[in-house]
Amino acid sequence: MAILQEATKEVTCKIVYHGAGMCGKTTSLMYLNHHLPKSQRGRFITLETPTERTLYFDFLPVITEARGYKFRYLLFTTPGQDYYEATRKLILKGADGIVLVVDSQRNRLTENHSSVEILEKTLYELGQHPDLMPRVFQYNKRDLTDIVPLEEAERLFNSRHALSFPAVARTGQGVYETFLTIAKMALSKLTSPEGESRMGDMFKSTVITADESMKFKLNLARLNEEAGAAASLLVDESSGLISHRGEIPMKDYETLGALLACNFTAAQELSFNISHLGFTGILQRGAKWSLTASRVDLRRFLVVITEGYGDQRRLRNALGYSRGILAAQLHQVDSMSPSRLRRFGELFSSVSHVAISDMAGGA
Amino acid sequence: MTSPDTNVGFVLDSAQQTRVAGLMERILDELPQGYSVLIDRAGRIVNVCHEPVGVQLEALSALSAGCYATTNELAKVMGEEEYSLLFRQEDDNQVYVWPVADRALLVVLLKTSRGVEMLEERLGGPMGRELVAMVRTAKLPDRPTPPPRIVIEEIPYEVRTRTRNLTALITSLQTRMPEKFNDEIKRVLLKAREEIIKSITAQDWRRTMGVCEWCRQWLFGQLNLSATVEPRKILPRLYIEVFSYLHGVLTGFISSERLTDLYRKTYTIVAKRRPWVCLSDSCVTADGIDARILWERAAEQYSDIMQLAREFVPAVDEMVRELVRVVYVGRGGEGRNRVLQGAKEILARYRNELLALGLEGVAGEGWLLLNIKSE
Repeated sequence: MAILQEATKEVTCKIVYHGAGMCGKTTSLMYLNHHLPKSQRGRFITLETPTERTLYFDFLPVITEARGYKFRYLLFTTPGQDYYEATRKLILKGADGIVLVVDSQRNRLTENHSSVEILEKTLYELGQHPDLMPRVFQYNKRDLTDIVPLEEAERLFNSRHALSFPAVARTGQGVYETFLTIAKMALSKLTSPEGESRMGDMFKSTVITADESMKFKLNLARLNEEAGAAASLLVDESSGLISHRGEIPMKDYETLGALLACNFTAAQELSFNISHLGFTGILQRGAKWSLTASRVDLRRFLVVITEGYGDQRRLRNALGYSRGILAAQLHQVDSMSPSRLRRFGELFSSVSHVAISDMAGGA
Repeated sequence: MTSPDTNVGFVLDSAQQTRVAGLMERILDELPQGYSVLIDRAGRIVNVCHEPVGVQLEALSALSAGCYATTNELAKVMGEEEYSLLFRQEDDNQVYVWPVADRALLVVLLKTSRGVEMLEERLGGPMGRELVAMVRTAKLPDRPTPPPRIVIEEIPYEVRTRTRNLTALITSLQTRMPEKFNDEIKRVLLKAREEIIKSITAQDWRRTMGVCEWCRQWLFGQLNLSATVEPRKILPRLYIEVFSYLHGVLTGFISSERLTDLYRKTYTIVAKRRPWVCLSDSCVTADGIDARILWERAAEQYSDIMQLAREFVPAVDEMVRELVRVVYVGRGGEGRNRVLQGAKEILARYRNELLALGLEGVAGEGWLLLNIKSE
């Protein structure tokens, strides 16, 4: 699901790279991270693991501006191994576009098949019809011997006739083209209200007006005051940061938002695994800062950052009060978003075209 | 209790396994309806204490590891070393995730909120310290460290060259003297490889170069190669012989006056590209280019003899290449191939000494050693 912020003229989309283990998802992101200009990318995060496999996700924000609008694409990879099925599902939640990375080697046919099937199954489980999800195939490792010819690969995996690109992620061949195409498709979906209205609940986009942004900020400021917090953030589970207020020494709120989103989603899933009830709070405690997260509605949560442990009782009371108000505001945003999207449709179709063209020139 | 997965990031022997299990029991002692799982950082189960009913342990482990990995990253963004993690469900289920050294996570599930403080106290006290010590001293599994998650362009040129040279050296030595590569040498080399990969992943370039150099010297020591050979003896001698051979060929079709001029021009061309090696044209004589004088002049500028060797070889190789080009013009492709063959025969005679220097078989950026390609 994308978030459109009228006040800041920002559009945030989530693109997920999905595929079998070791097929080149992380390598594709690494290539983009290395070759995009610094102004067009944020911090690349690859979670530390004792193996070369992706444990939960890799993350790269790609940013571009056009006609006063800022387009932010949050690129995620899913873990390929079956063992991490539980975390893979979480990353696909709220995606605006999917790149299906296929390992072209003949001996990986079974894994590729399984990965395509898993994607469809997971999307159904998340309440999203796969046909409506923008997707692009990236046939990777085309430089190796004993690979499946492209025509055969198309026949085997691409039954829905999505766009596809031959690629060598290691050298970057086809990686950029694939990304540009999926970015464009994700924005096209956003600017087509008919397509957007048929998306599942977890995949519907949100339009936040300038007035609503201001209200969010005021509420967060009050929360900070009442809870004795240094800062607080309103975060969407799939698209990261919605709003923030307060001051902490590290100002990378975007990375913080994306990490918190993934962190909270995994915690919720873990909770459902234990008792079929979501957690009401998550506390992360370090030597200097504590982070307390609390659910607001089905898709959003609040994070309060306090110095030290903070006054937990005071914090809980303040959180309880703010959650109610913010939930009501977000409900209004959700109910108004479909009609607002129609208003934005024409504007974004032209802006998105420029945004993508600019990025192609910059890389 | 489940048996340990052989794929986990560390291996506990049976005695350690028993001690860890006992310790996990003691940590949970008297805590209300508690159970715990010890997992590695990739989410694979090491040990379970009081297995919970109706909970998918694999999902619990993978999610805990994923969640903690993001927490760890959050800690970095917040400028902290590490976070502990607590999930709350009002007064019902509580999940506490505690980092054990930098290798494992202890996931504790409690049925009520009572007990969290007691648990934190225990983990912060002697029991926690004992668990950390045990996990820290556990052996690494017998599997190679995965390749670094970094693109080649991100590795500095010098580091790339060193690692490539080391690989080429080891391959060459293994081909030439396989009988000397006993299990101990193989074990140390594998360990060095893992260290190099780890330091590259951490982008600790100083450490990468240090391990490469240590490994090279250690290997020479083990194979009794390093004691007798020095670059200042072997390299000038090799190139003197090569230039002398080339001079013999060139005098066959170029007059001696023009030859001196040719050597001077060759020297000048290379000196423009590599002024730090070509410091004085006193090395140019009527009989060719005197590699010893060239070396001695350059040596005045270098404190590190191996660094000089690394600069000297490509510079002199370039001079040889220029002269081979002249042979090609005068004697055609056949003549050039003959000259190259001759130069390589000279190189072959020096193979063992070059091997001891770690130069044999090295042909890449910076190190050419007469690896002159056909044009």
